[in-house]
Order: sequence, then C-alpha cells, then structure tokens
Amino acid sequence: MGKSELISLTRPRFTWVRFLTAISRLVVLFIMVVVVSILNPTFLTTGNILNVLRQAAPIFIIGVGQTIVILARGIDLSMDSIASLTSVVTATLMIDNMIPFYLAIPMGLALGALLGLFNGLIITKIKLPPFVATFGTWLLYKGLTVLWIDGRVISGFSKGFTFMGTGRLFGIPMIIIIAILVYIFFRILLKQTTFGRKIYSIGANPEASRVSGIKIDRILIIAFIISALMATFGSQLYIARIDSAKSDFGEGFALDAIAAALIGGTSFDGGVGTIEGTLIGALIILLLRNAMNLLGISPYWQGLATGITIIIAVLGDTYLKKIAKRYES
Amino acid sequence: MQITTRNKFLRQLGTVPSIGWILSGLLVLFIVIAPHFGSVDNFFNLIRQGAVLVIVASGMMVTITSGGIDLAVGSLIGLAGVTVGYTLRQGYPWPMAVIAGILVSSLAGLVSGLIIAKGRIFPFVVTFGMLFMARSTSLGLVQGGSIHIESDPFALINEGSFLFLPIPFWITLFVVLIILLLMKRTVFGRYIFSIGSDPVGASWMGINLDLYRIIVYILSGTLAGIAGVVLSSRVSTGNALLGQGTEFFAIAAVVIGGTPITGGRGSLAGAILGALVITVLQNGLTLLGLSSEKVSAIVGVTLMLGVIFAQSVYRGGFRGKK
Repeated sequence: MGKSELISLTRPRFTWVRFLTAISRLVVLFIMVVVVSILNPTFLTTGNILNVLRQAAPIFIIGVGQTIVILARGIDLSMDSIASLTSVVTATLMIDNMIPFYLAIPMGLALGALLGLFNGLIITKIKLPPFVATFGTWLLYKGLTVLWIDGRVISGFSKGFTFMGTGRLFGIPMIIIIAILVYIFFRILLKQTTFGRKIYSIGANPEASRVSGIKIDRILIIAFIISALMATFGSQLYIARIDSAKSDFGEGFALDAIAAALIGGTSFDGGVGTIEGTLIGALIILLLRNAMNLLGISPYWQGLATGITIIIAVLGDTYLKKIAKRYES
Repeated sequence: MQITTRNKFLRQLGTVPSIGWILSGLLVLFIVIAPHFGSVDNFFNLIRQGAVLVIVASGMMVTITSGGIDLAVGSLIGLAGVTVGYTLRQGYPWPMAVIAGILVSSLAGLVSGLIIAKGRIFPFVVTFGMLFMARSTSLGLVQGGSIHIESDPFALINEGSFLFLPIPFWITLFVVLIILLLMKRTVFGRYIFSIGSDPVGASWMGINLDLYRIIVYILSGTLAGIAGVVLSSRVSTGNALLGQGTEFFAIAAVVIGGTPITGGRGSLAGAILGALVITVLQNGLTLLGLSSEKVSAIVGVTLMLGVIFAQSVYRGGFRGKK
C-alpha cells in the first residue's frame, strides 16, 4: 500500500485527526451507556458498573497486546490458539502435576513468550507477512492444544488461583486492579521509554526507522512476544474467573482484541493509537454485548455485530481523516 | 512480469514439477502403508473429498495473484450449506436452494470486495472480519445447531455419477476450466496479474483497480459457495462449522503450489496439485486410524512448515522483486 505510506509520512503530528478520533470514541461510548441504561434501569449502580468493568478487563488486557503489534504494522491472529494452549497447559500443570499456581502462572507465561518468539521469528527472518504467519500458527497452536488435552475439560482450581479472577481487594474486584496495573505499565512503556518510541516510529515509517538505526527485527519480535504474553495472561485470568479450561476456549480472543484496538482508534497503517483508546474500545464491545443480551438477541449474532462495529469504526476513521484534512488546509 | 532467477534449482523447487513429485511420492507411500488406500472406492472418495479444496484453492489462487487474500472462504462454505438447508426447510425446491446458497456467498464476497476497494482497508483485515461475521450469521440462522438436509436430488450432487466419474469431479473440472480461460485468455486475467505485481503501475495504465478487486472477491465467494454446496451435499447437513480451516488449506495449497503470497504471479496447476497433496495427506492419515483432530493437527503443522519453506524459496529465488 504505497499510498498509505505516503499518507503516514505527511500526517501531521497533532491534532484534528487525533482530536476527532478521541471525541468520536467518547461520544459512541456515551451513547452506548445511555442506551444500555435505558434498557436496564439498574445499569448505573456501583455493583453493576464494577461487574461490567470486570468483564471488560480480559478484553482490555489482550487488546493491549494486539494494540502494540498493530502499532508496529503487524497483526497477531494466533491469539486465540495461544490463549487456548497456554491456559490449558497452565491448568494441567496445576491439576495434573500439582504445581502451585504461583509457579504454574509464570510457566504458562514462559510458554506464551516462546510461542510469541516463534511468531516473531517467522515474520522477521522468513519474511512471511504477519497475517499469513500468525494465521498459520493459529492453526499450528490449535493443533498442539488438541494433541495436548484431547477434549478434556479441566476445572477445580485452587482458591489462590481463582482469587485472581473472582476475589476482591478492598471491595474492588482483583481483576480490575490487575487491569489498572497493566494499564499503568503499558502507558509508561509506550510513552516514557525508547522501546515505546521505537514501536511508534516503526509503525509510522519503517524505512526511516531502519535508516536511523532502529533494529526493526528485534523490536518486532519483542512486540509479538508481548502480544503472546498478554494473550496468555488474559486467558489465565479468564480461566480463573470461570474456573474451567478446555481446548477451544480461546476462540474469538483475536477478534475481540483486534476489535478493541481498532474501535479504540488504532490504525492499521501503523504508528497511530493509544492504550486509552483500546480501553474505550473494550468497553464499547462489552456494552454492545450487554445491550444485545438485554434486547434478547442470541449470542450467536455477536460475531456479526462485532464485525460490523469494526468496519464502521475503520471506515469512520477514513472519513474522519478527510474531515480533519479539510480543517487543516 | 518476467522474473529471472539466479538459481535454477531454487526455481524448480516449489513449482509444478516438484509439487507433482511430492504428490506421487505420497500416493505411493500411502498405497504401501495405509490399508484400503489404493482401492477403487477410496479413489472415488478422494475425488469427492478433493473437489471442495480444489474449487476453493482455484479461487484463492486468483485472489492471491491479485495481491489480495480471502480468509473468509472457510466460513462461507458453512454459510452456503446452512443457507441451502434453511431454504429447503422453507419449502423451496432444491435448485432454488442451491442457487440461494451460492448467491449468499457471492454476496458476502461482494461486501468484502466493496469494503476492500472503496474503504481502502487491507484484505486480510476485512476478510478476517468476514470470517467471523459469516460464521456468526450461520450460527444465528440455525441457532448454533445444524440443519439436516433431506432431499434426494440434492444428495445426488455428491453421490451421482456421470460417465463413470462422480459429479463433484465434473463440477470441479468446470470451475477449473473457467478459471483457466479467465486467467490465460481474457483481459481480466492479464489485469489480475498486473494489479498483483504492480498496483500503482496498473492504475496508471488506466486499469480500474476497484472494479477488478471487487470482481476477485465476488469470484472467490462464489467458488466458496459452490464448494459449500458440494460439501453439504456430501454430509447431508447444513452446519455453520462446516469448512472451518479450509481457508488455511487453500492458502497453503496455493503457496506450496508455486504462487508467492505477495501475488503478481500464479500457478493454477500448482494450486490444484497442492490441494490434492493436502487431500491425499488427510485421507491417508485417516485410513491409518488417526482421529480427525489429530489428522488436522498433523496436516496443519506439516503445511505450516511447507509454507515457510516455499516462501523462503521464493524470497531466495526471486531477486529484484520484494
């Protein structure tokens, strides 16, 4: 896409684009909140809001991983299978091998990092386009999951593990506290470190980044490892909440993560997007599902609704860019 | 469009001759080690199983040659089957149901194509979204279950024979010939090659990029619809999950058959042979007594390695083109 490269080269540092993008998201979020609270009068109670945030937390966490990859002009379609494989392995380590949860979680994360490393290596060394490579590893990891567990459903985790998903600290659900910590960590990583700057720079202009001495391959590999780690961590939180794990449980993770990132204003052209946007994206997806449930629409239509929302968001951004240009010229 | 290679050995690898050798090798191997693999019944079985993938891979080859990709074909197969079942249940005759099934998939292809061409969004994003949208639509239509198709003439699409060969064979032959004519004998084919190898140049030449891109995705959707009709006729059910994963097998067939994933070049014969290699692998492993999950896991791993190998050969082999 030579044209889009040109656009990102000439894209102004600030302003109308970012301003309109941010405002449009907040407006949509506000409308969703109004719609859902009309459908469900008890929606705006503290308990219910905490509940919504609790459900949005895993989507936000995996969305953050996807955001970082998309910022660097990549995409990680293998998140579904990474989530399934690592959560199933974490679960079997705890239940079958009696490994305590505080060791099983890092072991699961280590496996996730390895899967992400493999993704990154195929993409940077073999030069397969990210979507082909991760689409392939999606099937590859899915196959490994099936070979590992073969249709079993694992449950009965220890109290300590399920505390991550269902417990409360000072009355606030643990999972929300974890999401806040994830937010703070990645906010600092993206805005305050050279790694973050490099991610944005690679996305905005890979050629210039290469010429200015950024080791693109290394940064990309780290980005894919982060994305795999977030898929792993998000899925561990998820199985801790529902107290069960099975081989196909991660299905839809990648779409949710991509949806959160794109609805939150992250651009596929690379270099544009924020963690805050992804948070708003995750909330919009969740409120949409909430509204569908309240309207009595079968969950089978969720995929269609998510897809249409993504398309509206991305097409809307193209339109916003045009408007913003008019303002600037 | 002429691509010169430095290394003759690399040029030979991953192209028609070598994929043909792999196919022959696999056939011999399975005839020796897999019971009943070489029987006449299994030969017809192979044709019926292979038809679906060959049809989809032919469409995928056109899409990839044009510089695009269609990840939605697997769920469009499911959508077509579900639509056939749904339409039959509403009491329409079977030819109507078949046409409806194919048209729904073409329509999904049109939607993908419009968004890709007019919205200027990467094909893999749009079609990845379409993958889930189509599956969600199928699941919504049948409420998560599947529809049993009770129509004898419809089942004949799979079971029937013409001139001693199964009808799916003739459908596949028809599809392949149409694509061969399109790509080799028409302006459409020429344009697809040039759009794939140099879109900016093609647009300077006055080629209507948007129009041809949209046609490519309609074609890909239509072929997935035809494959869906054949597949649902074989299992006598419309099931939303039917065809899951076919998109990857089709891409793999195209890439190991000599078409680089970056487009601009394409081999229809290679794609067909690639699809046959995958079919033979699936069929042979099943006859060895492995469970279907294990078969798809093993085939998936093998193909991923095959695609990685083929793509690195193209990179090493075709200097001067990214």
